[in-house]
Amino acid sequence: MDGYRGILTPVDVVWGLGAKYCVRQDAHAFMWLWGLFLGFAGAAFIVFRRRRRFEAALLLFFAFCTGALGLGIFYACYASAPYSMGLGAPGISAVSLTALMCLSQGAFTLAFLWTAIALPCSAALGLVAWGRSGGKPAALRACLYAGAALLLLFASTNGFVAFFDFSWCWSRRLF
Amino acid sequence: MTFGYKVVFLAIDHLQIAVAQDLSSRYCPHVQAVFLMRFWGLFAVFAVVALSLFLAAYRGMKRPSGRTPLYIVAGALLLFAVGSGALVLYGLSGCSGVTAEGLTWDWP
Repeated sequence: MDGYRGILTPVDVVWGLGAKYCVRQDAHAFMWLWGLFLGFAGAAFIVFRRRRRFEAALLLFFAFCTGALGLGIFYACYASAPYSMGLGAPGISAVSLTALMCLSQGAFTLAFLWTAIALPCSAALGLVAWGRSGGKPAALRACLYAGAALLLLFASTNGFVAFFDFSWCWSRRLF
Repeated sequence: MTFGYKVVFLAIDHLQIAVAQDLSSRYCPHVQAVFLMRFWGLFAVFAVVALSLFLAAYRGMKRPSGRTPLYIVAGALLLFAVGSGALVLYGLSGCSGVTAEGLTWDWP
């Protein structure tokens, strides 16, 4: 606040309460994402110790995306909570506000869909890595690759559902 | 806008007060004591499982390569318990006043 350092105005109070409100509103999604983040980070560490650097990097990337999604959901809620309850929003456009509200209100669905994207992708990665390790008959290897392809198809379907869900919420609120 | 005017303007803004009340009453538990009891119970379960895994890794495994995954799982469980616990307590600290019906927080 310009020149108001040390004085707590009602605006500060509202934003401070907004942060705690957001944690409560999306608590289950945050806990879910926190668990997923730790799972990916732990798996990346185990895989890295087995000298599989590419797989470890990919798992670390999933962990990073999980963390970014959690922070994004929190920011979306924090930035839109007071406005969604009726306060005027002079510095933010209606389109951005709608997007932020869609992101924060469908947080658990989004977290669940992200899990349904990231876990099949990492499982597909595991199947391919297992298939590539030596001493397997061709039929088994083909089955493993086919399974990986199916998992990737499942993950991309979930990606489309997540994108559609978010776009639907965004457009439905605007019109 | 001068300093004094702005403070008076903010102090009498009823809309902001109403929003602040909404923000501090939604998604709060009906009874905080029961909620906290469940929360500490869950926290204790996670902590005990994590500590048991640490002990199992420390005593049970002969080979160091077998220990590492167990240590990682135990550490992840402990981190999950501590992180989610901090999250729950932070969120709960914003609750004051009457709980908004229909928008309650039932379990951690």
